Amino acid sequence: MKMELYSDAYYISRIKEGDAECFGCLLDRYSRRIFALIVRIVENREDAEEITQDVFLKVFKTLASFKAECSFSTWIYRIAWNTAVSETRRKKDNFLPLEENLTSDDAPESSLFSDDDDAEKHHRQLELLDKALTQLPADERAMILLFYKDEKTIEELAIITGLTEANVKVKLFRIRKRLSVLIRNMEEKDNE
Amino acid sequence: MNNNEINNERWKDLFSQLPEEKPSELFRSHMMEKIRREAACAHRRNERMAWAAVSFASVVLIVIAVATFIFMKTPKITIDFPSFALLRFSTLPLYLFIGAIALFLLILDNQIRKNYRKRHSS
Repeated sequence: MKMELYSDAYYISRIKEGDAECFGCLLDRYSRRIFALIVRIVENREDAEEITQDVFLKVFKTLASFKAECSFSTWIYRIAWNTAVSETRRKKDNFLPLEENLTSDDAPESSLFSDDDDAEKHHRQLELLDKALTQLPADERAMILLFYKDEKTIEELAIITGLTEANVKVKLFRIRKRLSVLIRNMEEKDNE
Repeated sequence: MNNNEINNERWKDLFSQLPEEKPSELFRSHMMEKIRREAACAHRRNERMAWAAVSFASVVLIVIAVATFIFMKTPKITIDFPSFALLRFSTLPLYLFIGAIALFLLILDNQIRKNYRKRHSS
């Protein structure tokens, strides 16, 4: 049974009153998005499913402490971020660090995107982005996905990650640069 | 739109087309099973806490009462326990009637609570 009729606040108040079944509605609303994010962070379906379950169990257990200082969506993403990123740190995420000189301004982002409607090139770009994402550290991957895929604002990202808004902006800029360099390098390798 | 905004839009467009993984079909049912178990645990925990609080409060009250009787010798009252021998036979049905009502109400209360819990847990 899937019901998505009322606001998050309504379901939260019902759950706080003891109606645990209402949690199913919050699951229907958020589980897919949270799972999609976590699977990208941990890069393993089984682990992602387990971590997503942990996230929702934490949400259920700590729901009484949710004071609506931010939206429920931001709160749940914050729990997902903390759980998934700390899990990858625990497992010692081994990524290849990019050299500083690779992240310099010599890779203008605009040249990455072609204006022509070449479907094949576009498809290739998607593939490269997918690959480039796997080469980023988990927290950076999560941050860029939250911003572009889940369309979170800088303010929301600051709440989710616990960083200041200025730090979030700087980090996003650097991550974008890193992605540009990674994609360009892969494109160059392809052309060789 | 400046260059930065155009690039932002292009990144957003590219990210929105990334393939998205979905949780397994059984994810929801497994999750809800865990939630129900956790809810039952929390209910039992709350009940235990309530019992502990009531027991603690009762013990505190009894200790205070005993201390008051022993150390402050107040109130100076004597308790005359009624002797059943003194009860007149005509008043016995009245006591039995009151006792039966109390018992009936206790059972009724218990039954209503059971029904309420059943309705709200299903």
